[in-house]
Amino acid sequence: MIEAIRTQAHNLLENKEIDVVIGYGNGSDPTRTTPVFIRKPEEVNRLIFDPRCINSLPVYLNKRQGYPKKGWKRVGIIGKGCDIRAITQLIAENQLSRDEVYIFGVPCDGVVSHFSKWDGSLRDDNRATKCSECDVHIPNDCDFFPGERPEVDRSGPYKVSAPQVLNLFNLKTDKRFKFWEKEFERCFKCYACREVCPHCSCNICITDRTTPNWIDQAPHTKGVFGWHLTRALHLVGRCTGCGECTRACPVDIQVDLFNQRMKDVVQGSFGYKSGYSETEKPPLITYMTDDSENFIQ
Amino acid sequence: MAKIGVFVCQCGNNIARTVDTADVAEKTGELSGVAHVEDYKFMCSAPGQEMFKKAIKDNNLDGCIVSACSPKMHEATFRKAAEDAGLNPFKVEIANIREQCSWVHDDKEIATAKSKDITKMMVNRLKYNRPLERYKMPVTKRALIIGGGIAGIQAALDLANAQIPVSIVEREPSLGGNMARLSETFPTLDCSQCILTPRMVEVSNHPLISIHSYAELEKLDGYIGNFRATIRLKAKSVIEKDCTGCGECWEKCPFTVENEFDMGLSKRSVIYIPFPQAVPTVPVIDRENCPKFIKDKCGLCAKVCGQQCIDFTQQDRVIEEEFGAVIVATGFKLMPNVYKEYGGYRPPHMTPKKLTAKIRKTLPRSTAGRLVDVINGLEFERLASASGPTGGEIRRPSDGKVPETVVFIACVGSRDCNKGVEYCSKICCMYTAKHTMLYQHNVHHGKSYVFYMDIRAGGKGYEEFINRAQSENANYVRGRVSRLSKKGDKILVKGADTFTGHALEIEADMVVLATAMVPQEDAMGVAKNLGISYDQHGFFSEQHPKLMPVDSSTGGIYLAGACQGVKDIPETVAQASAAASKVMQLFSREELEREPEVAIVDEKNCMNCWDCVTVCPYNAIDRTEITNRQGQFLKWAAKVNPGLCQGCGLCNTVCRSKSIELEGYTDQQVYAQITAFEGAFV
Amino acid sequence: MSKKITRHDFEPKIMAFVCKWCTYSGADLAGTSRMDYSPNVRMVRLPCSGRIDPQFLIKAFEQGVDGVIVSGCHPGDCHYNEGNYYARRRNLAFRELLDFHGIDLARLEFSWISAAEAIKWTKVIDVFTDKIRELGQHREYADMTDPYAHYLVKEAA
Repeated sequence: MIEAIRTQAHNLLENKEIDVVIGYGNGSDPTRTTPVFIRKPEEVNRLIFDPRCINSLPVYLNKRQGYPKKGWKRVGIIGKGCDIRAITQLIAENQLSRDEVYIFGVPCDGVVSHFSKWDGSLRDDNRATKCSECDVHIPNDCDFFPGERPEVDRSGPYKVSAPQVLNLFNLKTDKRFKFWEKEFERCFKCYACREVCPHCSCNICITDRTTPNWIDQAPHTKGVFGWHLTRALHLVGRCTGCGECTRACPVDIQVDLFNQRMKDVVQGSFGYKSGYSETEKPPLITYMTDDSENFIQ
Repeated sequence: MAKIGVFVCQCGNNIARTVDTADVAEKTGELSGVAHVEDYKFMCSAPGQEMFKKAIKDNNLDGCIVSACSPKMHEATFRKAAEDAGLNPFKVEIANIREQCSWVHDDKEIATAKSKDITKMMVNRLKYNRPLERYKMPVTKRALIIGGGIAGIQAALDLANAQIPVSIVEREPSLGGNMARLSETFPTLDCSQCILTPRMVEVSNHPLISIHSYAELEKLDGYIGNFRATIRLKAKSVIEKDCTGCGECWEKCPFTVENEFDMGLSKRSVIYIPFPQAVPTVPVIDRENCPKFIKDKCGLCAKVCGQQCIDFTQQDRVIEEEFGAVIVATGFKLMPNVYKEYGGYRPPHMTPKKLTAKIRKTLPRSTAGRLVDVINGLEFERLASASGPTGGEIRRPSDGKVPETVVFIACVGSRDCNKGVEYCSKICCMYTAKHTMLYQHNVHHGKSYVFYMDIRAGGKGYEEFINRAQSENANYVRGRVSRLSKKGDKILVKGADTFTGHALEIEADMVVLATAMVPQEDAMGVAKNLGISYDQHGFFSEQHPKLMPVDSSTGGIYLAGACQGVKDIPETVAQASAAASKVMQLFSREELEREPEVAIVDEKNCMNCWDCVTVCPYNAIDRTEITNRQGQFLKWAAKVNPGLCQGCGLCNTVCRSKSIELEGYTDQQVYAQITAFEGAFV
Repeated sequence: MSKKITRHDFEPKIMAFVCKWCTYSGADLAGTSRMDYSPNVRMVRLPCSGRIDPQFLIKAFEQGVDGVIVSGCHPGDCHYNEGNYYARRRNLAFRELLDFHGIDLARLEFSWISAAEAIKWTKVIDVFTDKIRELGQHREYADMTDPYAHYLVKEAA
């Protein structure tokens, strides 16, 4: 499979149809992979793909991360189904145009939850949670796919959220608060969750703004609550569920639980699934006159 | 450091009864930034305002809080006073301690504490008020009128007589609209054309009115005072300035098609004017049906034209014009498809047999498989019209016979949620009564029946008119018709008289349906084009149903006539005049002033998600390219058109990067207000 | 006016974010009609319920209020045609989010109050105040200590 991608990438790079291929290469130790940027056709053999390829590469297509770099007119990118959803969402938000990217779609059975869990095989106990509910093992939209691409019906709803979300949701409100309070005590606001997110695209993040100081910069619990509430709020209907925020968190706070919960809400209340359409309006910038208002007096 | 003055009003005893104003003033004076406090009996009185102005000047204040009544009462008063004293009016805020404190609480201690809190919140907010300047915009003193029916004609004449240049855009080749089709008008039975056509001539002769007939509005950009309209002038194939309207061409033209003006009851030539009194009297070639354009044959009209003004090569022309205001008067049509309920569909024309030559030419209706003698109100108008297909004799469409029995059915499609529209079409009761009279005047021995639900005759002289119709001519039957069917060459009308409770069967020669009035088919398209809102039926929505009935939801665009809701002629004319006077009001000023509380963009941080563009209800936000001094493209950013922005702040809320802000309600101001809140009760 | 004044041990702090066309006018009408309602509410006047950013509510809770009211025009009555529809969606999502963070939704009230509904306004305020009084202080947020508080220089009064 990867051979076909290497050949195609080689051809495209040689014909200057694309300027760079963003993909995965072997990392510093055998359990790790690292994002690689292939600019020369002869380097394509560095490209690999296996369940260790955890990173969400579309973050490199985010303007805030310096995209497009000098000399990048058209970018090839290796995309798992979930990554391609992120790209679609970026296009829907006008952060990217479809013809700027050349997507190498890869069929993916899931990735490991963490590099340290990799021992050569992918099993249920080391698979990332997002992969168990994935419906894009065969990607939605791509320019190149190794071999024949089977048709997959994706009209159905998302699968239900990870068990942790439901467990948490079924707790009593104050218990849930205690849970988060305990989690957030560890947060020291390194903003890794923001930096790794493909959708955080603001030039100046609202938390970095001091006039007005909506979110307290200090990493005490109050400010941390404000930050995570705001982050989740800004991602309502936009998060494509790559789970990178949780993976990047140095103190293991499961910040993507909010996003997963909001994904369910958006799906249930507005019938919207992010990352499947480049033209559908995200739920919070549109409305129906008959939206639910059972919470309103 | 801010120098804020706080003025606490006692409002006689209104505030002072439950609020210790002196205490409020004292405590507020201790807040940082407060340089001056006053506690006064009547701030809004002349001495109060003088004191207010003096305090601003003497203390060189850069902001003022008036703790008094609701901002709706006196915000404008104090802003004006501040302006007089040399302070930017938007540096004045009102703390509402009357309606929302002293009048609703009894406990003096609590009310005083609440007043302090309210005042403190406003003081904090005021520190971040920016001095704003009202936008001044020039006004293009020309009006555009869309639709050349009676509403458009009236508005155009009113405006032009007030020395305002007007352009009328009419889709058809002639002005006149639906009113030109009518035979006589209720309740006075004066001839519609006799009162309309002089107006049309007046319009065509008026030096300040330009008529774009056979034209459509393609696009409207801009905002109140400064619209730019793109108008498509459809090719008439006739050189307008040379044409004398002699009529040689349309008389000689050998091809005929269904005449829309006569509701398909007669035929017209392919080069045509819709009716003899058409304004402008310039024919157009119907290119869809003309053999010259279909297969390049004929061309007779060009040969017979003495002025050589037929031009087959003419192209559509698109012109752009500037206007300051727009009046929309696109009118109505009758609900289509009601025939389906009442007797089948309308097939294409077939020439009926056994007719006199004259009738055959004018009434070519088929009898095959449907009830051709079921017609709608406008068709009846044409039959009754002296200039109509039958020359004013009432003859039925199928065989040209004079109908001996006619059944009129009211409320067809109206007041019927299931098959039609929910609203009452308002004019049908009246015109049905008029039809019975016209019929009776024409066919003295004829019998007419009217099936109705209620009679709604609210209008000057209307009830009297109905009474006359009921007593003199028609048999009014209260009840609905259940079925129309064919019986010989007659129509069997099955219905019920709900007064007697008897079922009723009438063998009628002709049935006239008082069909519901609905907006024009493309009304919603027009609304989207203009950026105005419309209701579920497609009628354009007024700004306020009672107090602003001629303003559309967009500033500078006004509504006239049946495009806004069902109306009869007097109401239409009244609304057209009202719309015209609104335009005059707008044009009476050299410059428009707009409140500066609009959104502004931080272009540097705009991240081009265009969420603001999507949510803006007024299409006030555009995309713009930011360039450096050398003119090189740097980035895209949102751009607010202050002429269109109404200051709702939706864009501010949806902007994640907070790079668009609503002046007057900025995040910083609201933040200051929230953080000032202590909820400190004594 | 004859309502008996009663003092309670706990007076909840309530903040209301309202649209100026409907709810603010409704509250004004309550004043003009001399209705009596609970004094615990402080209003922030905004042009439209669509302008009410969830950020405001987060900040209000951080600030230590015990309850927040959000109110605007009834659907279809928005002065800006559609602002309240957006507000409704946004608040629906925001409530779910708050709930998932473990904040009691009873502390956040959303209502449609027109300029004529002064009675509804007083009722909403009174009922909500009583409800919050029963719930007690919003301890969750209030108890979150700010370890840096003592570094902050208090604004000179």
